[in-house]
Amino acid sequence: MTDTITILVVEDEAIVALDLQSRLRRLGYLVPETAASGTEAIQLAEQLQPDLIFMDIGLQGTMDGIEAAEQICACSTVQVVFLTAYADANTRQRAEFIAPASFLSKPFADEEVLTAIKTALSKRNES
Amino acid sequence: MTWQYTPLTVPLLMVAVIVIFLAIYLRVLQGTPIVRHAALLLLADALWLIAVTLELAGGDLSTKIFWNKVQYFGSVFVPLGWLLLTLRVLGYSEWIKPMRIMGLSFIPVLTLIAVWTNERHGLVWTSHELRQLGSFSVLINERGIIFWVYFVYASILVACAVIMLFRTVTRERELYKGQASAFLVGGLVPLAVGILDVARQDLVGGLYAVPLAMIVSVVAIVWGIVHFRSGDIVPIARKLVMESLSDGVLVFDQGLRLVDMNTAAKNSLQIGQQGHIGKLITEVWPEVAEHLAHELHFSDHFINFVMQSSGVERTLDVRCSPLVDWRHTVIGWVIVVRDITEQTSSTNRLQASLREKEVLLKEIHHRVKNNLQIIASLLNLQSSSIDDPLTLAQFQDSQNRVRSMALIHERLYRSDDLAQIDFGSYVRDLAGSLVQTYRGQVQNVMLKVEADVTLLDIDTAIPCGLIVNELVSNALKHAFPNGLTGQICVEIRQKQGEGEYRLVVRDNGVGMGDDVDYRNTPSLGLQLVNSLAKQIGGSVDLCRDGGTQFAIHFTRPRMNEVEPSK
Repeated sequence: MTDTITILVVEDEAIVALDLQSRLRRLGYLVPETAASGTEAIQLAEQLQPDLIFMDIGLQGTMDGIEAAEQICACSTVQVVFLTAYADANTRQRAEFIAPASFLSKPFADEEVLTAIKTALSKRNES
Repeated sequence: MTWQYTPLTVPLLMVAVIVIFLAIYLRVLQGTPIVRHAALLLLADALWLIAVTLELAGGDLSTKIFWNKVQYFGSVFVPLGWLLLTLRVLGYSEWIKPMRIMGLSFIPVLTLIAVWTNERHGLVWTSHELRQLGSFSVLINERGIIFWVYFVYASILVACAVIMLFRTVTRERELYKGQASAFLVGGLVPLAVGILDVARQDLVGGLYAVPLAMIVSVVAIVWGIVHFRSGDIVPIARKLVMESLSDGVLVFDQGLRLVDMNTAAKNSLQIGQQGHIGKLITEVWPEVAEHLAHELHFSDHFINFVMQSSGVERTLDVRCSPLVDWRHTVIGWVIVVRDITEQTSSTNRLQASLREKEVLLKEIHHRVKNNLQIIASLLNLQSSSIDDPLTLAQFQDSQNRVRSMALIHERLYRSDDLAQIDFGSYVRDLAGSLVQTYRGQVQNVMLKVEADVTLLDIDTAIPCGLIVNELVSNALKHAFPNGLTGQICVEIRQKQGEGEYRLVVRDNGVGMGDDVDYRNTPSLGLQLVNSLAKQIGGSVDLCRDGGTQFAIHFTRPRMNEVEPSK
């Protein structure tokens, strides 16, 4: 069942991205690519049509994770999990505007990642 | 001119000479404006007395009339001199201006001219007669209209001085009470005697009572000046203090008219001193007058006020203090103005610098947290190639340790307080995260966190966090084997008002074997607990009743007051 779920990881820290990709794969999910910038994330989201995106807020380039998620969600029903649990009030407000599935605090354990995935997928099914 | 002998001639002349010597003494020894003024007044008195004596000694009508006229050279200026001296003594020198003196001198000068031209108009005296009084004759004048005008004018001036002195006597502190009392006597006695004399009460046998009363007046003046040294020390010292103050000082009377101000006030408010004395506060300081009008109370209070001065914004700290007399009546206000522009600017710079440093510190915490995340990720990536469950568990433990530290930086990063965190709230997150991590191994264990809002600095929070991490992980891994149901409780308490803390992790699981010496164990987790407890100067106690309970007691410098969390 999980191997039919495609997840896109967007994270500018290469090691963290690799770790998350590894965890997700170990948990049985498809993680074909990771993106380090907002532009790359938009391209990969269009190309891969993922079910879920793990999106860091601070990214390489001028576009941050919230802006990238906004553009992706505008033409897709993909669920987004932001990889920053705590941010300043303004950033948090911007992030919540696109109704993300959840926020995941770094560093994270496998169980937290699983919980975030379950929440996101159930939200997707509800919608 | 013919002369006659009277018993009063010699005493009066002697008094006049003494008065002249006193005037010279005051003039020579002390050179302040008050003393110079008093000396001039004494000379006028002396002239008056000499003329009185010579009038008395005159043997015929024309001689007496001549010396009677000479008296007016001294007497017409005495009331005005009295008023001006009183103003100086009471600190109202700013009121004494040439134009005002000229205005007040009009009637005396007019009287003097009228006295010397009386034969032509008879407006000062309508008639003169010689009256025999025992062995000598005295001059009796029938007074005319100008005399009465002058008399009323002189009485008013002296009465004004007397009233001002009386107010001072009833309000001022002791030193000035004594000084003002002396001057009050000096003014009151001649005034009272003059009125009685004019009313023909015939004091001292119908002789010239006012000049005699001036003797009392002279004594009072000299005593007031010499005894209290009012002419030099006090006014000079007060002026020196006032002028040396870097703060502006303004004194307003009951009607909010400016009475006095120092140079600093003049500079602060960019106003001229002379032109503003006696003016209302609304004219002197319109920018702040309205605000002050609402703020003038019966107690001291402060306001901060920003005003433009030569195109530059100045911040003024204004302190208003009421002047209250012994009857608790507000008789004026002292306003002290301190220019705090530099201080405010400096504070603003410091605050900006502090904000900048806070931003940098937050960024550092953020970066540390991210680096810890990278370390956790590296450990996780490395562990993915490990098949041995024991080694894998050790990697998992290490990741948890890194996470417990990262969580502290996370909290510091998002907190307003960059120096300390709410440890109770942190423990809830950490323990909850650990339970999630070990959910695969223990499904039936409840977690309970009992924590006050306990603020701990980073040097204490990180070791304590690691201790909780180790003990909760141990409990989750070992206390509830084979799906055993149970509870893990984490408790952090601070003794109210003191820096003593008690951190407890207990479970109601199977418990540690009695043979396990937790102080000397190969378990890295327990070694860390002991070492970290030692690092924070704490002690570790183990209780094996009904499970396992580790209690760590430690002391820290007193933090903010704590209250139970909801």
